[in-house]
Amino acid sequence: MMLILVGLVPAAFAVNMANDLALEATVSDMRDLAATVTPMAQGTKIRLDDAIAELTRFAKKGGTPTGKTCAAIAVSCQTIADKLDQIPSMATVKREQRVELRTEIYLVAEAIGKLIHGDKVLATDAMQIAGGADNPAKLIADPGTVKALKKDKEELDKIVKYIPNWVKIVVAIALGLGTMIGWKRIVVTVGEKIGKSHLTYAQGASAELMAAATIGLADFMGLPVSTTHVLSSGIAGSMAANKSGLQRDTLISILMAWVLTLPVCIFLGATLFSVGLYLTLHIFGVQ
Amino acid sequence: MVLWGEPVSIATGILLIVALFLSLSFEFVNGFHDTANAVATVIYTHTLKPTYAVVWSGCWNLLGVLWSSGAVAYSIVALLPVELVLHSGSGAGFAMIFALLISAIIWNVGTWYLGLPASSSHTMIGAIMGVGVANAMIGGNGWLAGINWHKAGEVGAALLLSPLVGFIGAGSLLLILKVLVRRKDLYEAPDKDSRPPLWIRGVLMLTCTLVSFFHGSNDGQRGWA
Repeated sequence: MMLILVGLVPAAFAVNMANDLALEATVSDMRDLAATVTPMAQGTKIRLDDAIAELTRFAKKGGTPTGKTCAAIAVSCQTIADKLDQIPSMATVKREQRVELRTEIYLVAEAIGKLIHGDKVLATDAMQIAGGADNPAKLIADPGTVKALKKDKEELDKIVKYIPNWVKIVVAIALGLGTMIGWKRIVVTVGEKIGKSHLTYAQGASAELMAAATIGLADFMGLPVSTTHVLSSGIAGSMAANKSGLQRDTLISILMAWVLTLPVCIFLGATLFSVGLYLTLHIFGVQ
Repeated sequence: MVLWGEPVSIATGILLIVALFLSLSFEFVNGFHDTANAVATVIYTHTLKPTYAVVWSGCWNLLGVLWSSGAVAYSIVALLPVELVLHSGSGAGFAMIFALLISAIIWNVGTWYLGLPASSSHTMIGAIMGVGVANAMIGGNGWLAGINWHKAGEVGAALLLSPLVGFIGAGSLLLILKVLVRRKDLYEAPDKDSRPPLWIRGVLMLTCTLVSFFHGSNDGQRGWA
């Protein structure tokens, strides 16, 4: 939803206009960061336009950092600091400059995020000043730097990755209404069509306990499990344990749906994106 | 037309309405797909009447969305091609947003219509990868470059792991329960009007509430971004 709003009404949504942003702190942090990164660039100089291109390249999947990336971060941080320094609040940024500012801040935040790996920081060839130019980038533990970088990223994210309250509420209502209206079909499958006999009290409790436990597994242990999958299999498991019998046809359909979800959605996404792109470029003539 | 204090063209206004409608429809469909996780057992054990169960779950979903910080919201954006995210107002950016939403809605509505429980996270990840694949191909990088192998691996692992966890976990729980609580009525199909013992109802109400709340706080955030 935010992507849509930022895309169509950029002047109103590109940057967070809330008044509680600590802009002064961000300015000094950006200057500090620029000062830290500049020596790592080992004299590489870069213009702002090239810096944006370099950061975009780095932010893409598989992009690796180089000395040029450090120079790009330094230049962008300096630019952001200079821009924020002149304004009392976000609302006073000129409309046409908001998108530009968003792009700069977004890219620096992404670049910082990509340099941090857990509690280590990815050092580039140029960053390992003593190590010579040909060393591959490697991870070094540097708690002080990591902490500072994380704080910088948080501040920047507050400006470009924000969500207004009304967006939260509208989305919450849509989800809640959907919940209340379309529940029946799948509930019937789960409740009646997996096992051969009616769900007993004990089976319901066992299956639902496992489903709730997966939230813990997924959120706190980082295991990639799906609540939907666990619940349906849980019902099947409890049916089997109670020797109630299973409905093979339903189980096969459900398994098919699970296995097909990813490939079918990749296909749909790719096709629709290509069609959409063709339409916008050739029919509507939009760039 | 003036929106949020900004003058916009009629075309932009219409596009905005269509796009926002689609994004809310996605959320709506997502809602009716995943409720079963929370309410199916509650309904079939006669812990709550269907209407109460669904409204209860819906409210907790809503609270979950409102309670969450938004930290997860943008993690889904991080999976998208960055050049499209930065230019979400461009033709390509809109092709991306529409492709994502429509793909997810098609698969969710299709599986829902057939009554098949399927993971909406996997649906979203698939659609995102599809856009990535097409984008990589158009950029001349070969379609393989668009696949996020880390995420694909997670989905694969979930496909293997979740049925095992569910099947063995719930089966074992039931067997343990059978040894610990020797009450025949727990293990037979319940009468039409009878309600389960208070502690079973308690367990089911609690798990239903938790599942609803955390569904809202995790999945609900995706629509924000």
